[in-house]
Amino acid sequence: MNSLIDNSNLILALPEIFLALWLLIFIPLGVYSGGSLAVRQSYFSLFAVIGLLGTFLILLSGGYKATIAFNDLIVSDKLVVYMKSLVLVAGILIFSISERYRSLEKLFIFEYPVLVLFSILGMLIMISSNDFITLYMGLELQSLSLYVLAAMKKDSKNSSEAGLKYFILGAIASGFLLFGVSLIFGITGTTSFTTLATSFSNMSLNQPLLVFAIIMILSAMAFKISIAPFHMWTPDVYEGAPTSITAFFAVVPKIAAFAVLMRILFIAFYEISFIWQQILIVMSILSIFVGAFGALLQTSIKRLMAYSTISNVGYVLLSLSLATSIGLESSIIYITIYTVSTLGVFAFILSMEKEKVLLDKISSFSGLSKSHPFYALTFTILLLSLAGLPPLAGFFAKFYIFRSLIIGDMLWVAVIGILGSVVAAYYYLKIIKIMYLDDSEELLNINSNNYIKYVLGFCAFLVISFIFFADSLIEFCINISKAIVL
Amino acid sequence: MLKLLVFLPLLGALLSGIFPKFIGKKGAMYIPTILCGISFIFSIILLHNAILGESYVINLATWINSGYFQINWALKLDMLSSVMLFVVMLVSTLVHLYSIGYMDRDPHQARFFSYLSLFTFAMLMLVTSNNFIQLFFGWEGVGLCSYLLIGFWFKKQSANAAAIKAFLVNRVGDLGLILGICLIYFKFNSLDYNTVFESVTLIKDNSFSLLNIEIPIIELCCFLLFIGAMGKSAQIILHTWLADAMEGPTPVSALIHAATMVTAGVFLVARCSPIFEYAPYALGFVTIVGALTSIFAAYVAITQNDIKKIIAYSTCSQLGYMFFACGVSAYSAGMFHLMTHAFFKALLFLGAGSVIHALSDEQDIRKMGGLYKALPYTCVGMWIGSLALAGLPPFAGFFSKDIILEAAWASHTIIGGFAFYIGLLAALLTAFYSWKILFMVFHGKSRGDISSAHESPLTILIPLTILSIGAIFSGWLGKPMIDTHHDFWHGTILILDNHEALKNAHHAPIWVKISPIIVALIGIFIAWVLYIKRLNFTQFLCERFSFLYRCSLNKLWFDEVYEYLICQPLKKCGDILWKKGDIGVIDRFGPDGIVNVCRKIAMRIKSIQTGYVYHYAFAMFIGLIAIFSWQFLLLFGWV
Repeated sequence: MNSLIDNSNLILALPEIFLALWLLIFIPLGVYSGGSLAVRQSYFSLFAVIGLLGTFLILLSGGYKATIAFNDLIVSDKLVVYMKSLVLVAGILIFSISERYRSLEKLFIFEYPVLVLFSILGMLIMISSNDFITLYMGLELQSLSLYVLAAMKKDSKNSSEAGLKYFILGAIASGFLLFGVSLIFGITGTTSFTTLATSFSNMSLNQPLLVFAIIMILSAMAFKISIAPFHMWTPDVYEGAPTSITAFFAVVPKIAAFAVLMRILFIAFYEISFIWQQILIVMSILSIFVGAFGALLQTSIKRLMAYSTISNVGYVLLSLSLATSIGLESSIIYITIYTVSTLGVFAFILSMEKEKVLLDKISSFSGLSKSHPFYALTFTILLLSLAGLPPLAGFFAKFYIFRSLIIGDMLWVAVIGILGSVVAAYYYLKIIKIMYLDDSEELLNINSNNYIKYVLGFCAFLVISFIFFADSLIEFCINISKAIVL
Repeated sequence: MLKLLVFLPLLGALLSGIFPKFIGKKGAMYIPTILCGISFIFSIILLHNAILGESYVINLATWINSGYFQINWALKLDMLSSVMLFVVMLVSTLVHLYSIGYMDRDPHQARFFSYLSLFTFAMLMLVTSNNFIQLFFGWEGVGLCSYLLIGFWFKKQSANAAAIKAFLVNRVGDLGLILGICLIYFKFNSLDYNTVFESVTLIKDNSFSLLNIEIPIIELCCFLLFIGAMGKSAQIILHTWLADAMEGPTPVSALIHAATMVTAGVFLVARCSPIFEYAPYALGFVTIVGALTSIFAAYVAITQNDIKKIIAYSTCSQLGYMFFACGVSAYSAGMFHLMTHAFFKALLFLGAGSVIHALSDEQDIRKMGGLYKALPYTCVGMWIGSLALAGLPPFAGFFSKDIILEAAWASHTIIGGFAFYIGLLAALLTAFYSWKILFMVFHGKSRGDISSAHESPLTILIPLTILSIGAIFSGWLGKPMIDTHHDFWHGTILILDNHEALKNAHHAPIWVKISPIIVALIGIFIAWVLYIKRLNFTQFLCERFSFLYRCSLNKLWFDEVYEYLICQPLKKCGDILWKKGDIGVIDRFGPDGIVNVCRKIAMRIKSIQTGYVYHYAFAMFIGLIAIFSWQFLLLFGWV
């Protein structure tokens, strides 16, 4: 047992340990603190943000040397550090843009930040997991927090419904995962990713049971990242959950789930890529199209963003399904750019309110370009980026995906993917058209705080200026992917 | 200096076109004018240098470089181009100056001056080109500016229609030109003037067979190039746009539709004289078309009543003279007439503009008369211009028209003789309609309200004065151009030894030399009888020869025939393609069809999203089972 609690092992898990301890302080603090609700809300948020910042600093100070600790349970390398940083930064930004919304919706309770921190803790564990058991622990910690968060708006029927739906379907997905993992364990006798990789190379791979197990595991992961046909929960949960939580849903868990998926596909199941490749291609094309067509007729911006997410994760999964280092690197680029754009879009959505009610109908943005040119312009830039117009970041994200597909001899898949993005461009452009060309019935009244403006402007700036630092980001992503794929 | 000369007008165009606010309303007028003035001074110096024998090519940049095909942006200075530079810059500068006065009431001066300068630039590119592609660039550039300037008053429906007509008719000619250029490239493997002209002799006997008729390549080349020239220079068949182009502001008519752009065709033929010389049939065609145009346009001009239209048809007719001069290998006579014509025709147009300006945009000569008191300077200018146009000594037109007619006579061919007699008749008509204008506008009784008429401002009178001087002396000064003993053109114009019309012209009998003067005097006399002495006789003549009169008045129904034969079938064709082809097929199955399919798919996906959690769970299981089945079928090799 002594070797388990080795110093070096502890240092590797220090970010998670710090966040967990922070949460332990947070809970009694939340219970016993006094003061008015609004004051307490901002105080708690600040506390949570400091916790995340501290975690982030510890993470960065830890270095990114590739190591495995706790008897193969936990891993750390460049990918882990980068994905964790993305999660933490996105988490901090989402805190800052949801302040205003929370006071609007009276989500003052201190459980809100606590649960968000718990889910982030779960994600950190997921990202650094090197074993299905660790993965499952992180996944469940994350999911359970998210179920509750989805149902956070206690007086809203939609919110409770969203939480319940998410919970039931999530439980099924967890069942899939556990079933798959137990089969894997039955076949190989291990659940560790690295050991799995070696054991696959020493055994006959033509087993129906193995295929069965892999499909089970992939389906569960597909559910987490809302890939069709396991996407059904997404629009309903996005719409029902409080909008700040939707923003969280759309960005942070996706990063974590993709990080895990990369590790599973490229470490544990790399030897058997011939089994999962086709499955992933079919699923991702399906979700690109479901995402593209599903959004066409939506009138609610949150539902639209749900479909947009479905289609975007489709692209990431498509390039992962190549099982090449180019595919991996372009998916990391895509996730990064997607995170920035989506954060910006939600910063915008969270600021669109009228008479203390958040606007959800797309048509209510009409005439925004005249009343709030800054918001309209930044939102337009972000949407154009999501639609993939050059020279914005979204174009490069898609470009690298299609490039990797073409290099990987999957020209037809690339063509289909491009067609999907053409359809998707329609609904992004429709929003721009509404903002710029349609006459408004009544003027919007935006009372955003400055944080939202900063985040929105920052994201739009990143999206525009991507072209100038594209080289370094791409270089960086290539480095990361080289560390994973040999 | 040549570079500056060419690019200063472009600078002017850019300045007043893009930064009108920055340089101000005055600046937008004066800056392009001053820049053109500087270019004009350069052009005098360059003309002087060229006469002394200087010639060179400045390569600016490579434009197209593809395999063996290389085209440069280049500026070529030689005798031919320097004469054109001088003419273009002189008229352009004067027109710029004139426009300052003429356009003073227009709100869009900046745009106007920008177009004028841009036109000047394009024209300079055309004349200084050293290859056919850059020539084509300039050719299209002037066409574009012509279009823009004819339609300058875009609120006038007729101006827009005229602009489009000019553009489309020119397209027909341009098609010929570009086919000619393609054929030249195909045969010569180069589009550089020097290379092409030097290798003409190598392929002059090449021919190809079409429907069992042997057609020499050179003939076809020249024929196609001349089609282009016909379009731009408004020769018969493609002449219909020129009269309508008078919808543009009058300075534009003076610059583009009298002095410079329409003469580009003549320039093209003169420039390509090394090719045309080997194509006797094409030259004959040029002569016939030129002669027919000169008589036809003069005939139409006598019954028109719009002052600008008369002058426009007169231009058409004079261009015909230039072409038949080229047709009998007297290219230098054609160029000579081009230069003198630029002076007196610009003078006539600007004079007409002055009259129109004074009468607040009245163009119908029936409503004028007796204006010589109100507009003395303009009247003198118009008289000089008309004298020059009619070819009376010692005015400019005498020298150039005389040599053309003599050359036609001296060519000793049937076509040449035909052109000579036609030309004489056209000269008679020319004198007649010129004095018809003078008598009806300036003399006799006033038939309209001319009480408010007033002499034009100085910016209008100065150009008139300069052009008047030119119209008097340019013929005399330009005589070296047609001197056969001393080659004025320094070899830029090639005339084969057996084509010696010009040489023989100097030995023409005396009756040939004086007949143009006599017919001109007869024309003036008839005009005097009809419009001053016996006004009722005019009416009688019109009724007596009503068929001839109506033919002339309706311009031989060219427009109507084109409308019926070409425009209407094309419109019908377009209508069918639009309604049946585009909307019915392409839209229905293309964009609209795709949109409908997308909408259907979207509806389907939306309807799957029922909101019931057991449906969702069911979808998950179905998806899972579908993937299982697919994979197992693959695994066991059942598919």
